[in-house]
Amino acid sequence: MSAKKKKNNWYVIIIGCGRLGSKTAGNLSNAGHSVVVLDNNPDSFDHLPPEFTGFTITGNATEIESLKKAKISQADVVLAFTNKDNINYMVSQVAKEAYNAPHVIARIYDPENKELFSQIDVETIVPMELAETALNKTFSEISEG
Amino acid sequence: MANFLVVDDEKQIRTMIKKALEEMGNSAETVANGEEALKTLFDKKYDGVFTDIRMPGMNGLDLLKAMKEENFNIPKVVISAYASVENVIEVFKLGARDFITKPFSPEEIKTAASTMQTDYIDIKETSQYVRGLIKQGATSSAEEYLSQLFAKYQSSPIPHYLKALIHISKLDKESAERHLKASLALDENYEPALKKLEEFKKQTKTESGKDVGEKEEE
Repeated sequence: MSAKKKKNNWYVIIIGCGRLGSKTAGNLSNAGHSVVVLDNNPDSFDHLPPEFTGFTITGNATEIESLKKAKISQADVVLAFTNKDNINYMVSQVAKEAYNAPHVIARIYDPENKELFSQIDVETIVPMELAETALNKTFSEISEG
Repeated sequence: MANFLVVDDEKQIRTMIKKALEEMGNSAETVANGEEALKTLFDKKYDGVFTDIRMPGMNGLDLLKAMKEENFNIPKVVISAYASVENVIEVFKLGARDFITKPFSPEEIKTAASTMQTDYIDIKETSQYVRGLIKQGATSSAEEYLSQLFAKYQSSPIPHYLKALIHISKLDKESAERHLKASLALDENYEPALKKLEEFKKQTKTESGKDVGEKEEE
């Protein structure tokens, strides 16, 4: 039996309310987690699905005041999902080093940046790699079939 | 099980609070602004209100003011992203029990709801106990408990009503009447005080009728 009690209500901050951010926000809040979405464009919150029951904050993620408004010090998970690797890096670094967020995950477009993120103990999602893996799998299935 | 009213202009926040309250076995109704809240409060009875501050139309502060003016003696908790010192002081002055800053977790809502319910049970139980003491003639002990109720529930009609009962037990009708009127000033529909005053009026009529009859006989 695991000594660590499983937590079923996480405080999650999602930076960037694009397609990935909004979809994730809906899924996580549907699963019972407390979700806060931060984006500098209030119109982006229109992407949020109806099942989303969390908070939206309009603000610039590179400004510490916006992150404080989102109560970053209480976050269990920070998801840096903006469409800019450098912003995701800045946010991840602040979350990890200034606020000791237990889990920080960033979406990055340039696979070469992966190493940079891993140096500050930030997990990454690289869409290009995911597409590559999926394509390889599909090709091998086709060639085998 | 308690019934709560949730007031917030953001649908997802209303849904989140409602869900948290329902998970505790309570029921909750939601409205989007102060006007709707006030209308609903006149129609139904609630055990607690959660309200946002910034809302279009009647905002949360105006709602708290209106509730105070209309003597809605219900525990209120304010939820807002704007936790300036001035805001917090103002909402407490207007009778709010707690101030929760956005974003919050469902746990914070659950804790605030439990506190509201505990307070609700507290005044009910204590007032019953005080009544028992008055019946037994233990007025000094009753006064002691009553002073706690007066300190904690300044806007409730119950402590004044109980004080009136103590005066009745001491046959001090004049003071009793004064406290019954004070009780009704806080809640004009408070039934026990209304009934007691009605009884007083009937007694006065009977007594004055007797006086007149006695005089006529002379």
